[in-house]
Amino acid sequence: MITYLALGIFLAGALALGCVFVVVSQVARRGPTPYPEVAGRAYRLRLFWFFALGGILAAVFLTALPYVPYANYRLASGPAAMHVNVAGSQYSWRLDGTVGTGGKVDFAVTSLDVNHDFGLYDPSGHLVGQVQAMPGYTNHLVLQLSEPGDYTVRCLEYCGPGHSSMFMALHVSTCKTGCCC
Amino acid sequence: MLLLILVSPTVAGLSAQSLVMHHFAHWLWVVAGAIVGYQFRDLVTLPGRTLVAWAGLFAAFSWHLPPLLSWAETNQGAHIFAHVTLLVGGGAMGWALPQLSGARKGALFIAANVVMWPIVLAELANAFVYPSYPGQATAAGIAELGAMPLAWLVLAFWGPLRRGLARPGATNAVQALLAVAALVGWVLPF
Amino acid sequence: MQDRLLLLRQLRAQRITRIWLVTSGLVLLGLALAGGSMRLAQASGGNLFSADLFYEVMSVHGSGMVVVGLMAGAGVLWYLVSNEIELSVTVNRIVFLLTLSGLVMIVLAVMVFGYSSAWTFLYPLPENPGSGIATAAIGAAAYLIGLALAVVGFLLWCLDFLRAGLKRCGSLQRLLGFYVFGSAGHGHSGENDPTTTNPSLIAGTVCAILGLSACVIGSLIVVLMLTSLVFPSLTLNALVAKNMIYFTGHTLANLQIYVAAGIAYSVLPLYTKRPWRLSRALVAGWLATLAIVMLAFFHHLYQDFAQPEAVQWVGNVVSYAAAIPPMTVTIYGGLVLVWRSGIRWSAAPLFTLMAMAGWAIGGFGAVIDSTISLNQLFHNTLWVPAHFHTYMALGVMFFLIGATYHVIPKLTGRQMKENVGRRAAALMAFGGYGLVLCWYISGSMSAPRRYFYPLSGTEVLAWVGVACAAVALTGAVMVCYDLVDVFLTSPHYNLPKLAPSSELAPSEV
Repeated sequence: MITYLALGIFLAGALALGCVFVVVSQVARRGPTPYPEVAGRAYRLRLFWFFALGGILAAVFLTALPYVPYANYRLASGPAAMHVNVAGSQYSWRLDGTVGTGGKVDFAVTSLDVNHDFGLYDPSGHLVGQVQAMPGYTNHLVLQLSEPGDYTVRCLEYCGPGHSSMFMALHVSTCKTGCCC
Repeated sequence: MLLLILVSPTVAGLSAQSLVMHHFAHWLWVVAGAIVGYQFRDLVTLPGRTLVAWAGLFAAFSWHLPPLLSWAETNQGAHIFAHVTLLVGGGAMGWALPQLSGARKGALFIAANVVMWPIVLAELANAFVYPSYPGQATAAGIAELGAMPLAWLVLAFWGPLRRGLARPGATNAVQALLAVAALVGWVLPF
Repeated sequence: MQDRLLLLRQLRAQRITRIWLVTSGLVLLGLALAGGSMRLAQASGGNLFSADLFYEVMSVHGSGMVVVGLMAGAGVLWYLVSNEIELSVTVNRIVFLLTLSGLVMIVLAVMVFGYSSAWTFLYPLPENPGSGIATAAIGAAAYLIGLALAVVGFLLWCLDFLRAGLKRCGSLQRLLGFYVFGSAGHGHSGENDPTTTNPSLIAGTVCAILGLSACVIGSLIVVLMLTSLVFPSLTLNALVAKNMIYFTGHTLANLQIYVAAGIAYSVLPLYTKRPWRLSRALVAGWLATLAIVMLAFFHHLYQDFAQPEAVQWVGNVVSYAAAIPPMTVTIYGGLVLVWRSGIRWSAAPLFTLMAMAGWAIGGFGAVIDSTISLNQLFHNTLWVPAHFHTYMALGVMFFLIGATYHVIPKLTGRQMKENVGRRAAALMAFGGYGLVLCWYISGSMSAPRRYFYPLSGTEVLAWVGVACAAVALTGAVMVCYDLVDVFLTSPHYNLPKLAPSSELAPSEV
C-alpha cells in the first residue's frame, strides 16, 4: 500500500534528519573553530545541497504527476462504466447506483447542507480515494476498484458532532455494471 | 508613445479577445499615467503628496473590486471612465511618489501587495465573473501570479535596473521599441 | 533626560513582555492539557466526553493554539527587536488586550454557547452546526467576533512593526536587505549604520506583510459570515468562502514558524558567539518565502475538485518550494552556526536546536502530504495532525520555550532552572515524537482525523499516544511551573541601580 511506503520513506527521512541534528549537536561542543573557516566550507556545500534538494523535489513531483485524482485524468483512458450519485448530509450518505470491479466508477458527489468528504475505504479498512462533498457543487471522483467486497463510505470532513457516525456500507460486486442481474 | 500604443486598434482588438492582454493593457494605462505625472513632479508644487499618492493607488485598484469590476465589464461608459481613472491614478502616483520619503514609498508598495495578492488569488480561483471572457479568469490569474513576484524583483533590483535603463543605448532601444510597437499597433489590420 | 526616556521605554517593554510571556505560557499549557484530554477521550472510545463536548474542546484547542501561538511569538520577537526599532508599547498593550478578549470570546462561544465548528469554521457549518444546541447561532456569532478581535490585534502588530521598521531603515528595500545584492554579498558595510537591517527584522517584516493580507481577508470572511448568520437569506459561495478561510487560517498558522525563525536569528548567535550575518541567500530566501506563503494554502483544497486545476498545481509546486528556504537558509544556517562553536547546550539553545529539527521533520511530513496524488490518501487522516503537531508543538513551541529561557533573565534578573529545562526538553521530545509517531502510523492506516473514537485497528496506537502525550505534558508543566515561580519571586523590573534623580515612580512605567 502506497501509504505504508510513504510512511517508510518519511520515517527513514525523519531518522536521518534526527541523526544529523544529534551529530551536529555533539560536534558543536568542540571548538571553538573560527567561524569564517566553518562558514566558508559550509556555504560552498550549501549550493550543492540547494540543487540536490530542488532536484529531488522535482523528481518526486514528476513521478507523482500521473496519479492525480482529477476526473479529466482518470477518464482520459476511457469513460466510466458506472455512475453513482452521492449526496451527503448531517449525518448520512445517500448513494444512488451500484458499484462493481469491472470498470471505472464515476462518483458524482455533492452535499445537501455543509461540507462533507466522501471517503471510500476498501474491505481491509484502507482509504482508496476521497473527494469533498460541497453544497452547490458536484465533484466527480473516478475510481477503478480492483477488489470486490464490503467497502465503507466515511465522512472525512468535520461536519458537526455526529461526524464520526457518518458512515455506511457499500457492497462492490464483481460485475462490470455493478449489478450481476 | 505608450498612450498611442494603448489606443491603437491592435491593442484594442487583442484586449477584446484576451483577458490577459486586457489586464496587461490596464496596467500599462497606469504606467503611462505615471510617466505623464512624473514629468510634472517639479513643475507642479502642491501640498499633500502622500495623500495624492494613496488616492492614486486607490483609484488604480478600485476597479479590481467585484462591484466596480462587474459594472465596468457590462457598461461601456463605466469602462471608459475606468481607463481614465487608471490614467489619472497613475498620474497621481507618478507626480507624488518621487518626492516621498523611502518609508512612505515602502508603505504604499506594501499596501499595493496586501490588496493585490488576495485579488490575484480570487482571480485564480474563478471568483470573478467576466461575461466577455468566458473561461479566461484562471489564465489571467496565472499571468498576474507571474507579475506579482516580478514586481518584488523589480523592487529588489531597482537600483541596477534604473542605472541600466538610464544609459543612452538602453534609452534609445526602448524608444525605438515603443515607436515600432506604435507603428505596428496602428498599421497592422485587426 | 534622553537616557531616562530610554530607560522608561525599556521598562515598559519589559513589563508588557512579561505579561505576554506568563499569560501565553499558562494559556498554551491549558490548551495543551485540553488537547491531552482529547487524546484520552478519543482513546477511550468516546466514553469520556460526549461528542458535543469533545468537539467543543477541539474547537477551543485549535483556535487557541493558532491565535496564542502566533501572538506569543510575535510578542517575543517584538521584545527582541524593540531596542533596534521604535515599536510602540501602547500598540503592544492594545494588541495584548485584543488578543486576550478575542480568546475569552472564543472560550465563551465554545464553553457557554456550545460552538463546536472547529477552528476552520468552514462555511456553512457555523450556521448549521448539527449539534442541536439551542444557543449554537449565538455561539457562532461570538466565535466569529472573538476571531475578528484577535485578527485585528495581529493586524495592528503588523502595521506597527512595518512603521517602525521603515522608520529605522528609511525604505522597504533597505528593511528587506536588498542592498546585499549590490555589495560584496554580505551586509558588512556600515556595521554601525543605524539604517541597516538584520535577519530578525527581515523575518518580522515578511511576516508582517503576509500577516496584513491574511488579516484583511480574515476580517472580510468573518464579516461576510456574520452577515450571513444575521441575514440567512444571504448565502455565500461555499468554495470562495473555503478559499478565503484557508488563506487566512493557513497563513496565520504558518506564520508561527516564520516568526519563530525571526526569534532564532536573535537568540542562537548569542550562545554560539557567532553573528547570524545578512547574506544574499538569506535575503533571497525571505523574498521567496513572501510569495510561497501567499500561495501555499491551495494545498488544503486539493480534494475540492471544483477548484480550477491550475491552482491545484500552483499549490503543489509552491508547497514543495516551501521546503527550500528553511532547509537551505534558516535550518542549514543554524546548524552551521553551532558547528564547532564550543557551545554549551543550556536550555535556550537546546530548545532552539530541537525546534529546528521539529521544523525539518514536520516539514518533510508536510511535503509528502502536499503531493496531490498522495493527498488523496492522507487528506483529513491522522497524518495531518501528525505533521502539524510536529511543526507546531515540536517546532514552534520549542522555539518559544527556548526564547523564554533566553529572555527571562533580561526581564527579571533571574534565571530559570537549567536542570528543569533540560529534563523537560527530554520529556517533551520523547513524549512529543512518540505522540506524533502514533499519528503518522495511524494516518498511514487511513484513520480519519477529528474522529470521536479510534478507527478499528488503531486502538493500541491511540493509547500509546495518550501515554506519550502525558509524558510530553509533564515536561510542559515543569517549564510552566518554573516560569510562574520566577515571575512571582522576582522583582517587578530588571533595573540597573539608578541615581536618585533618575529613579522612576511606579506610575510612570
